[in-house]
Amino acid sequence: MGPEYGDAVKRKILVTGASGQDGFYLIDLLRKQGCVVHAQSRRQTHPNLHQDGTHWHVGDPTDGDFLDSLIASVMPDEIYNFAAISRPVLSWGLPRETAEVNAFLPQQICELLLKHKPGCRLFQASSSEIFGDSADRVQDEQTLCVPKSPYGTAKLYAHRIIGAYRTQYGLHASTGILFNHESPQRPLSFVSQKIAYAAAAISVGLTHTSETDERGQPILRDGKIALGDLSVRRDFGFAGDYVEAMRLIVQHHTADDYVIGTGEDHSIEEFCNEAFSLVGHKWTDHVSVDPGLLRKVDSHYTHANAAKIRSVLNWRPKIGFRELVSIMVKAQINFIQSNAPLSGEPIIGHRSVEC
Amino acid sequence: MKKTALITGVTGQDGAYLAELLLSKGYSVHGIKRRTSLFNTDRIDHLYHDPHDKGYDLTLHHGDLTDSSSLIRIVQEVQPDEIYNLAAQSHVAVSFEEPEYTANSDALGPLRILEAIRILGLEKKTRFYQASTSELYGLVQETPQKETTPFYPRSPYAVAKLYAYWITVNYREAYGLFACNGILFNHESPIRGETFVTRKITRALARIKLGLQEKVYLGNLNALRDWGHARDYVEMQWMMLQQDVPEDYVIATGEQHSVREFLEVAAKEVNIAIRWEGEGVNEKGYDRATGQCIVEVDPRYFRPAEVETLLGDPAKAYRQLGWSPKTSFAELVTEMMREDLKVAQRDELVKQHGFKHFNYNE
Repeated sequence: MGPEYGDAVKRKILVTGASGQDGFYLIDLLRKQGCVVHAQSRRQTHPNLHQDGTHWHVGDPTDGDFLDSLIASVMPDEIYNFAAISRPVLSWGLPRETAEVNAFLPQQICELLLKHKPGCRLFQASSSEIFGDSADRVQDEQTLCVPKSPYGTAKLYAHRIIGAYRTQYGLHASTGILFNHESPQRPLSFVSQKIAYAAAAISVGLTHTSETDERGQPILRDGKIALGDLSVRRDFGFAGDYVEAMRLIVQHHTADDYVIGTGEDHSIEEFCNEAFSLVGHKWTDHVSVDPGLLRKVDSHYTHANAAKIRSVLNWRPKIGFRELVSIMVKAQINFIQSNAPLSGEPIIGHRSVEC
Repeated sequence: MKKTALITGVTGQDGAYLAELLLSKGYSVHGIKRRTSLFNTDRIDHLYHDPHDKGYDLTLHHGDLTDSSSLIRIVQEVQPDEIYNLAAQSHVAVSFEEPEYTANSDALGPLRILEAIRILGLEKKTRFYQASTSELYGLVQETPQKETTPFYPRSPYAVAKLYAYWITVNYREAYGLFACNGILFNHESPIRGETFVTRKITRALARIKLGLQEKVYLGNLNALRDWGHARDYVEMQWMMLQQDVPEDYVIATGEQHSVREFLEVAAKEVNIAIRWEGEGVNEKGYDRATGQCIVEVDPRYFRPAEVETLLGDPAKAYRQLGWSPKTSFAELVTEMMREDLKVAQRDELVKQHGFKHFNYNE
């Protein structure tokens, strides 16, 4: 981290969608850096969650009056907008709500900044889903956007509207085009966590789990986990590294768009292999493919070229793929064994969080 | 069997031309108009008849792109073979002032229609046309712009239209809908909205010519646009929905002119020659014959996120559908100028006889 953090005047930071994975890591980082943190969530947060001076504001950010009074009362120096319907596959069933939250909320935040505090800096969580099935081998800030779901389309709206407000009004509004970022805080509905959970369950001798997948079936049944397309390749990073990148982006003198990724891609098969190897098992003994879980319209391949953020902001991910899988599997073993939250980490509170 | 079409934005420029085209092809045409306290059917007055008269095939429905239930009700009632979504908050500058409404009507509007088609189980029956726009290209990434050119929208209007473009593609790919985008470059006509620069120019020149107005204030005189005639473009919209495979097409002329050129050609039509003096915001246009200043630049019309240049490549439309525009730039400007001169003459007549007339200032 740059030297400006240590002695800087205490900045007031507002994090929207703060009860999700990224909110968890960002708030942690901000607290360490001595910032005053205001966090917004749509529902009452888990009692374990950050009883450390973070100011929680419970309400729906797409409610214009709530958002207006939130920004007017906090008058933040920086806003990180994480509020989103976060699952591309769900967005088919909720296209309108996905647009309201993922596309129009960022625009509304820009409007409120113009009204209350044009000097406030804004970070918008863009997504590699805006690229869709990109023809490019690797994706950078110039890659053609071909979104493949209402989620990607809404995120693309947000991405471009931020750019338009930056140009039109000179707002310090940036976007980070985030590639898959995982952690022990990922909800179980995401494939990475599902695999980590299954490997952990196997390692403690379980063959059946009470936790269910999107089909409503146990994630582990007769010692097997059912997955979709194993050949999908993604650029997987660690969420804790990515929030540091976001913070750097906002501190930079000029607002801009940045790709945030590791520059490596791994298949779902590799993720399985890594996770099950860690607990001394062969993934092929425990993974089956359910054609029902295949997605007709989905990004098949993502691989970030993060050269820009590397050279401009000197950011590099610290956690590699193997370590990431290991952290996630160990956290799940810990969770299953204690059947309770890890000390200080409210995993239960996050499990069901989808949005 | 008689086909049925539903047009949103039927009271607008494109809606009027498309309704006329479809009626001439024997369609039963239904249009959606918003409720207003003023009559807003001027452009389709010649097609429209009192609903008590029988035998006419244009039916208007009250509805609104921001009201899902009205859309579902109308689509269910009409059971259209084709839906043309031409309704929009279509003014770029206004979209900065009304970003939320622009998003609601221009981005969510098409989503609501697509959802209506899906919810009503009309995926196999109803074809969908979405009016996309060259404003998607914004900060242009290559010239000329074609179907494969990356989009770089720069206004709430363009970003909302970007959403509409992709959600149309999403629904086509995921649900097998016959849904197409027509990426239309600027298209004008004598019934273009009065606040758009072309119409603003021809109206002003007509009124200046007849002494009803002194001068006109404009923004960036050097902005370059690809201007076609709306009548030609609606034909292409219809053609897109008659194909075997739904695809997206650029609709343009492939020819570029500046706002200044448009103004000069229009002025010539009413025998005004313009002499330019000064530069930038201080540039002024004078009538050579009278020496009167008739054009001034007002920075109010400048935007930081200005779209400087647009030029479309309609090669795909020509190659695959055999479409090319019929009206030349000069013919377009001349037609607009002549029609606005008639309107100005009417206003002058009304004024002379002591009746109330309107200035319709922007």
